[in-house]
Amino acid sequence: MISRPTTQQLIDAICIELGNKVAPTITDPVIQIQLEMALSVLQTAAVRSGNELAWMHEEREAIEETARQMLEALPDASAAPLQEALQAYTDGLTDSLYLEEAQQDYARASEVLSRAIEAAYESGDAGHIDAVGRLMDQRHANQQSVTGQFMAAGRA
Amino acid sequence: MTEAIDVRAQLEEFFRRRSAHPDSVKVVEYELITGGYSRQMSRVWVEDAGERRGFVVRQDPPPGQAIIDTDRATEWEVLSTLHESGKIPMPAPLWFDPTGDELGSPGIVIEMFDGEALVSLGRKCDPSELPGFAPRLAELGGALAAFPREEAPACLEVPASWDDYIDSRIQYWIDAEQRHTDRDPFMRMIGAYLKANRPPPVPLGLVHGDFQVANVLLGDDGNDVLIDWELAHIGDPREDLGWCMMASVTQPPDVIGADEEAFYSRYREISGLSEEQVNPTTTDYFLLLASATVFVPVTEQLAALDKGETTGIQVAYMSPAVSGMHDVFYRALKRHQAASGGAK
Repeated sequence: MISRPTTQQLIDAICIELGNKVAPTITDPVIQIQLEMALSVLQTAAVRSGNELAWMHEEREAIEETARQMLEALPDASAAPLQEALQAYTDGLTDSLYLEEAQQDYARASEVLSRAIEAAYESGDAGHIDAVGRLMDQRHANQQSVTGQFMAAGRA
Repeated sequence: MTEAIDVRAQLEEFFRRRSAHPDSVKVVEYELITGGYSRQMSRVWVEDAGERRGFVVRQDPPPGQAIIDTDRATEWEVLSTLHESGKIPMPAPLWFDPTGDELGSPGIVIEMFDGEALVSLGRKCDPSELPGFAPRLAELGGALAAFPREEAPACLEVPASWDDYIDSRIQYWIDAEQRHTDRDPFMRMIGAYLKANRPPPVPLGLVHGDFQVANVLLGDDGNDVLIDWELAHIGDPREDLGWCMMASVTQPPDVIGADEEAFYSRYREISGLSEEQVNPTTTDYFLLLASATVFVPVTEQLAALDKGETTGIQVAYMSPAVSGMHDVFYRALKRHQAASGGAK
């Protein structure tokens, strides 16, 4: 397969051309907004294409580690939903680099994270809340790398 | 071009039927309003017996194109009832086509208000002028919070209690995440956080549902009006402040933040709510609670795209929009946590 230019470089090249040459020729305000939206989606797709497999892998490893630490500390009743999600994650894990399967691994890890968050807030334990907070910081930082500061198109 | 001509002809016929001088009626100008994510809106200028009047037409878009589906009949009842009350500043609702037989799709015709949107004025004014708009925005927000619930439109459901209402709004976040095709820990975190950090209650009342600078038109002498009532409901009035803060990030300027003290003190004065009940921290709580109304339908559109049931640039654009909203939610949650001691 052709690996250079990368997917990210190809999309970026198209975005530059659309923004600099096509956008100035459009006079219909509805189409202008649609192009602005399309460029925004393409730019996020470019960043995702370059990073999403690695990010999903890194995040789910961190989620699994935190969930295991929390399970050791939580009382049995609070731990059950988290334990169940972690079991489903480990049973279903493919560790594949194909996007569809990698996304499914990530989705199961995300459910583990959600249940860890719920257990942390239910317990009111500052240590657990900080631990899930660090996982959310990581996720938030990755998402921000994709989108940056979002401004709604066409709402001038 | 043919479509534009057809729309003009359709509108001309609509206004002729409502004129004492039908033969004189002519649509002299017509333009689509861009930027709306739910309704199809246009401005129309009509000459009738030598007099020129402007109208705004709010219609259902073609099926599957709205990010949020709302009901025109409900909106018409809300507009009519609130306008008749004289307690809420708003442009006059004039006519309603419930079936779309006349306008092409169900639609409402509203008097055009002679004023500029706060969002556009706020972006082009000198930054030193922005704080001056904060008490004006508080006038409108306060009028909403002070509106007598017993005079609210009958079509708006009244929750059994404040606790039931807040519970149901929190559960909406959690249920929506479980229905979604993607797992979203931000939604679940919001649900868990809101459960653990309830603010002091206030009486349930009228909520505009999309209270933000884009929906405030500034009139002469401070006679400002509120538009776009399709999400109005009975709930916690602080939802409007939360949503306003949410919108101010993705659609600046932040008028409340330009002079927080002036805004909150005027808002409390008009609404009768206390400082403990209304402050920047409770607003962050309601930013999280209220945003589900817009956020959840957006995720549903993305789910439809994921399942191959829909397509379109506007729907795809909701993916970066979701990420942008996650960012606002997360920062609001952290601010709330820092200010309130959070989550314990």
